[in-house]
Amino acid sequence: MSQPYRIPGRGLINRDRSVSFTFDGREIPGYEGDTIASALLANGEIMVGRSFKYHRPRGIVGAGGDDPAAMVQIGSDPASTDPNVMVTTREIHAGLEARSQNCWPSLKHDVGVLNDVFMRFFPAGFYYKTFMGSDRFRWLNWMTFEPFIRRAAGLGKSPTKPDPDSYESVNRHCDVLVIGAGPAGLAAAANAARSGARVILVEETDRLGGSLNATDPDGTTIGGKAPADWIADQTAKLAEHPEVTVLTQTTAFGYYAMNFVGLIERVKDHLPEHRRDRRQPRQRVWRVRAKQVVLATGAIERPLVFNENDRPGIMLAGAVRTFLNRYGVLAGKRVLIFTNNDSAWQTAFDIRAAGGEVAGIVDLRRELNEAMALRALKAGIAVYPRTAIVGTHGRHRIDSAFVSSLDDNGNVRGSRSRIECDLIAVSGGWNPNVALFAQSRGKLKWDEELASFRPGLSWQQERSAGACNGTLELQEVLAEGSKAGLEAARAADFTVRAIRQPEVRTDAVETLNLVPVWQVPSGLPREKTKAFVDLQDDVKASDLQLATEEGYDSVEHTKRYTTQGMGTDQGKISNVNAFGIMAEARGITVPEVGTTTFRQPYRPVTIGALGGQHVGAHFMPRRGTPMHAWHLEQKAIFEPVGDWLRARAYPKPGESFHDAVQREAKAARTTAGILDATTLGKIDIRGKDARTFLNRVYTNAWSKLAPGRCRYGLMLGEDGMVSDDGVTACIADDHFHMTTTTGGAASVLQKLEDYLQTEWPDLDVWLTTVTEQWAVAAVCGPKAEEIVASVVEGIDLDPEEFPFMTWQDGTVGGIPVRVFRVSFTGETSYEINIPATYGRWLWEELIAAGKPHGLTPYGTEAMHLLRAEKGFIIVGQETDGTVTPGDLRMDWAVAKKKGDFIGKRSLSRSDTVRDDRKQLVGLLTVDGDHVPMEGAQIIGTPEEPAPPVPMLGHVTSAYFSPNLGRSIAMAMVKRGGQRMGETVWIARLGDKPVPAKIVHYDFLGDAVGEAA
Amino acid sequence: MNATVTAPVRRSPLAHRSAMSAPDDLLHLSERAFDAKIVLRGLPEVLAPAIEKVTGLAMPEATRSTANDAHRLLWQSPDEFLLLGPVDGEPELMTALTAELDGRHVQIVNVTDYHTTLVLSGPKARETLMTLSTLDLHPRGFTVDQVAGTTFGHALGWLVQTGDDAAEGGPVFEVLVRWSHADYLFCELTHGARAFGMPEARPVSGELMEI
Repeated sequence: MSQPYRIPGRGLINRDRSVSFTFDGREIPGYEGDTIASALLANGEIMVGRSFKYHRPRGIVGAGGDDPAAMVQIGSDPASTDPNVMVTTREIHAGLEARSQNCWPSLKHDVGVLNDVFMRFFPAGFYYKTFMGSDRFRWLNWMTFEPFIRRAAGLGKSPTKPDPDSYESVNRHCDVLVIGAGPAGLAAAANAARSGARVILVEETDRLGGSLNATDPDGTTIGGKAPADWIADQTAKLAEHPEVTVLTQTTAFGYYAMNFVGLIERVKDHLPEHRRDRRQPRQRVWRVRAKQVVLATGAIERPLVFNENDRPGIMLAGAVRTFLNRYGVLAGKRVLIFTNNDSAWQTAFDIRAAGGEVAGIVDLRRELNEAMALRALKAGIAVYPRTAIVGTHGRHRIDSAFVSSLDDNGNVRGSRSRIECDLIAVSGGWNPNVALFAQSRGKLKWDEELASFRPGLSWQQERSAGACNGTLELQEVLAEGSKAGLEAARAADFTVRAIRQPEVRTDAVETLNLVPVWQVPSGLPREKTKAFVDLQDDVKASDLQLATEEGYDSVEHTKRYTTQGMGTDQGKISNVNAFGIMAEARGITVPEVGTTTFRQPYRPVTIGALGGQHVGAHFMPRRGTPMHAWHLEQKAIFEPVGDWLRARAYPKPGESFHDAVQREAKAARTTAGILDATTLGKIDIRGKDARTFLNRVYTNAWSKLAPGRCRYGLMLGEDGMVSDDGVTACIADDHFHMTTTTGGAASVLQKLEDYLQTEWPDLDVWLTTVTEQWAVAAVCGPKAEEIVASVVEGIDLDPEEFPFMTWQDGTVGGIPVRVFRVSFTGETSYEINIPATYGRWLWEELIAAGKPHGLTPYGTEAMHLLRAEKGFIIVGQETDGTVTPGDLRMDWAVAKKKGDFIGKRSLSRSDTVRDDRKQLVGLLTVDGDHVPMEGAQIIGTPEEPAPPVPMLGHVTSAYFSPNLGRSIAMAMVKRGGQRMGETVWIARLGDKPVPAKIVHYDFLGDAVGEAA
Repeated sequence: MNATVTAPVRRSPLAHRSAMSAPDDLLHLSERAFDAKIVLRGLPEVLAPAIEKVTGLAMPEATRSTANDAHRLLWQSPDEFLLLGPVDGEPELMTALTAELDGRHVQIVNVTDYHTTLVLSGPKARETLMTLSTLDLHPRGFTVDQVAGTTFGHALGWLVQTGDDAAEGGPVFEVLVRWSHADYLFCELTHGARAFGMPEARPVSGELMEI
């Protein structure tokens, strides 16, 4: 194909390499270096999609990251398809498949366009007013309508399958981060680099140079060189410095606290399949901590808001220039310029210089720059001063514009005349791109000459240079960039001397002389004017005015009521216009209106890239004990406990989980069971004040615990509520070994260290975690002694000689072990601690030794069942942060006479001493086969009364006990301790309450017999 | 008592992994298991004479370590130090240090089995660590003998540089990581080094979670 809009000899594309891709199934030819947008325009395609709400045709408006609505869907694979890709930022490559989105059945015949026909009836807030507020629809609700509305108003389609691509995030520190590689950014980076500082230069597009790439190459020299040569020089100089990193295809998407900046690098998106390195991620997030930041993010042109300004073929004047000079594409055959400032005139001159036709310059201003007008005259360009475009014509691309002259008050005067054109190049002025500056918490200030906001007071270590700082003359831009680079390097403690600035010679228009016109008059009533502000979200000037009239006049309210700036483009080109229109509607100034908040991300970032490499198998550490591989080999069922994976049960082939748990729990009481108890938190406590310390952190007394003995303790928060529990052993008078719950290990250590350092610095105590130093195998049951005896040496294991709640040192195969006679099951139990690297070996020795005795490994589920049979609590199951020791009826664990301990005072608060608190009890259902649901509510009547139902409490644990042959449950019940023997009822959803008797919770004690 | 156990078998957390390398000696990753590891808590002036006598090492400055052929002493906090010693050296070190510091307000804890040591070396070691750690790991930001306790992805670890960048084999880093996080970190490091041609190690998985 001929690419009829391509201009010979212009542009930085590589004409030696033809590249074609498909758009809606049609093959589109282009060249290497083209974006989808420039290739489409080269072939005369300007319409790429339809708008969000009214499904109006949408074309290409910008030439880079500023474009508001020209988005496509890339690829059709349900896993890797990429929605909402801006055609102006994606480079083409062979095999690229692009599709228009938000239209059905096709781009040019779209059913949703009916919304457009009824546009008058869909003003701002329409959906909410109609479906949420209206009496007429009260019988329906928003939830009914939402899916339909969402389907009609959509963007691209999300992938439906897991993302096959990989992503990565990396961390970097640097001295100077320069964002934007236009003239200011290049100058800044080059000057900072000379200091030897670590410099990172970030460029959003595929080439350095920024706005220089969009200038007429024959019109400007820098230090006597053509812009392209100057850029090449700077690039070469940067490459000489080993500490400089240049990232192209990379967007700084977020500026966070303490000069932390997020960058997203598109590593492979622009490459054809065969050039994609499989070892590289698709995209990479760089998390950069910079000592100093230079913002050189340029300026974004804003359009003019005029009637019928949203048709394809209406483009920003600067974008027309960029497509011409950077991509060698003149997007129209007959271009009409519409402006309120000088800069758009350059577009006319560039078009003429390239041999294109200019239909005229329609300028809203009365006073025009004489030299410029003369230049236009010489170029044979018609100029229409004090004139406005009041309407346009053309369905899928404009074919003409209607203009009217304006009177002294800026109102339409006289008749409309028609100018034929297929492209309107519009400029309403330039907005410094202050998004990152504002994200950094910098304060914006209003600039009257620009009629826009620019950086004011900095909050972080950054400086703005060039167009983003409101500076538009190239000589000044370079000077500002150089200065920013030098100052940034010096502020980062580097020494560097300034060098002479290259001289700029240019015939480009660098003046602005802007006269702001926020809404161009159309001469039509408001409801007949289709003057769009936000092209992606279909927000019209009239919507903003209506919102103001209806009271949504704060800028943030107007935004939400109209959805102004809420699209994927975040209102880059439209927000300042919107603020201007709001200001006029309210009769105040734009700075008085203020801006909406600039939030991260500056551009949409793939969620996968934020997740980085921490996905799939790398999502979380799978914390396992030294015996983990053994559990895996046994095909155990696992469960997460804290951040560990623990074996929950070991079903035999064909055995159900429930049956396995019953078998394991039965074996632990009738023969022997073995549990991997490695995950319990362990803290080594050392110091002459260790006993005092324990007295203060536990509720019971520790002064007299002799070496060799162990004691159970409850730990409270300052609020008096149980926060952890465990057994602590006395190793020596000044040395203790504390155990905590698995999940509490880290938080308990942190809390204790915190108290030692901040509350009790007078105590001579040291703490060190030893959780993972020890592997722990707990053997319990009638045969436990015999089994352990065949493995452990140096200890008389006879429970008479080695009583409950003591510990002894021994050896296994010569390896020192520490054996604790503690029990979480109520059975005779030996917890063998061995250095972790021997854990797997010890475990297998015990399994082998236990085989003749029926030793059965049991998991955490059987452990829970066994402890419930004995009436032992689990912190976090029986307790929920609102439970005192008294509520657990464990007053025996609270010492009355010792000194203070954490939470003591709270135990005498009126609320903690009232006698109607919920207390822990056992529950035996009348039907012993019925296992209540954990969490079920307990009521005092056989039938559930009408709501509100008086609640007595709830079930905390419930199991079928194989050892008792019936169900058991623990529950928190109001005044439970005083209700022994009473019957309560356990409520069920959609079923009759179940009667149960309140008993003591030691089911192995008398509870079951007494209840019978 | 008749103990009938087989000969003790000591398994490191990464016994199931072998050392891995990227082409052209860009990167080497391996486990060095069983180093003696002892936590010493106490004021530096109290610990110093004993440590010097037992190991010959001086106390390190904050965020640094000191080392000789047999030992390395890592600063961990103003009153916490980690002593690394030769394999099977922990009993002697414990005994000697305990004797020297008898009666002083200190804590000496054997944590030999708590951690294992990952050794990462080669010209791409720094960049590989940068995929997981937010620290400044540029040669200007992290130097020989420097120590930092930080997170690598989701795992806690202690990082120490033991070999100079200029020396043959590039910089050498050691990461002390918990037993239970070792496999995760080993695999994450190979994953982060894919771009340098490192083969990828997949984390141990396959736990059944469904009842």
